[in-house]
Amino acid sequence: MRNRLKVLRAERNWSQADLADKLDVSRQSVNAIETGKYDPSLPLAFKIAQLFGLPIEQIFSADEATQAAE
Amino acid sequence: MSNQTSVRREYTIGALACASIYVALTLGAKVAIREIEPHGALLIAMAIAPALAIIAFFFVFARYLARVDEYQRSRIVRALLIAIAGTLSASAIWDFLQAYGNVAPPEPFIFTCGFILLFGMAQGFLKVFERLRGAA
Repeated sequence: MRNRLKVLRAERNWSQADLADKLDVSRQSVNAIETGKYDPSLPLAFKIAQLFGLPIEQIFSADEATQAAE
Repeated sequence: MSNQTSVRREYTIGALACASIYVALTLGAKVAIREIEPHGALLIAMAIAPALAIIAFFFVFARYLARVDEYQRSRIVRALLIAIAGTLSASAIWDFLQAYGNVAPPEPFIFTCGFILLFGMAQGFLKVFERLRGAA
């Protein structure tokens, strides 16, 4: 899964630690999500979407491998 | 201090407390059994006293797992699975060697210590593996 978390965070001038605090997760979690090493659960994805005021599909999208599998 | 930082801090304090109590109870029980030479229920109570600290640690660990964020939890669970698989594999091999190969029974606590060691190593290994893949 791909995501625009890093871009959205940079637009708001937030550090990974700032975003982690707002989401009540660790900085390592934010980093893992941004780098695509970890896909967040649906509740966390909704929390991220709510924080940025965007629909989930504008933040997360299926990558080529996932789309090819479909 | 963020919530996740306080969760980790509480876990560290709890785990260190359990470890300290375990050492104190282990040494205390050893000395007390040698000096007092208890029998019956008192001996059993003294013998199992150190295990209470380990049981207390499971409560501390369960509370940590319930409160830590989902990514950290997934890493811990993966490390636990590696440790469980490694320990059970070694235990199974030893059991068969004991049954058919005339190998001596294992020393007490060897699999418990092995599990703790494997759990620690698995966490380190997973961290290094993720760094190599690009995550910090």
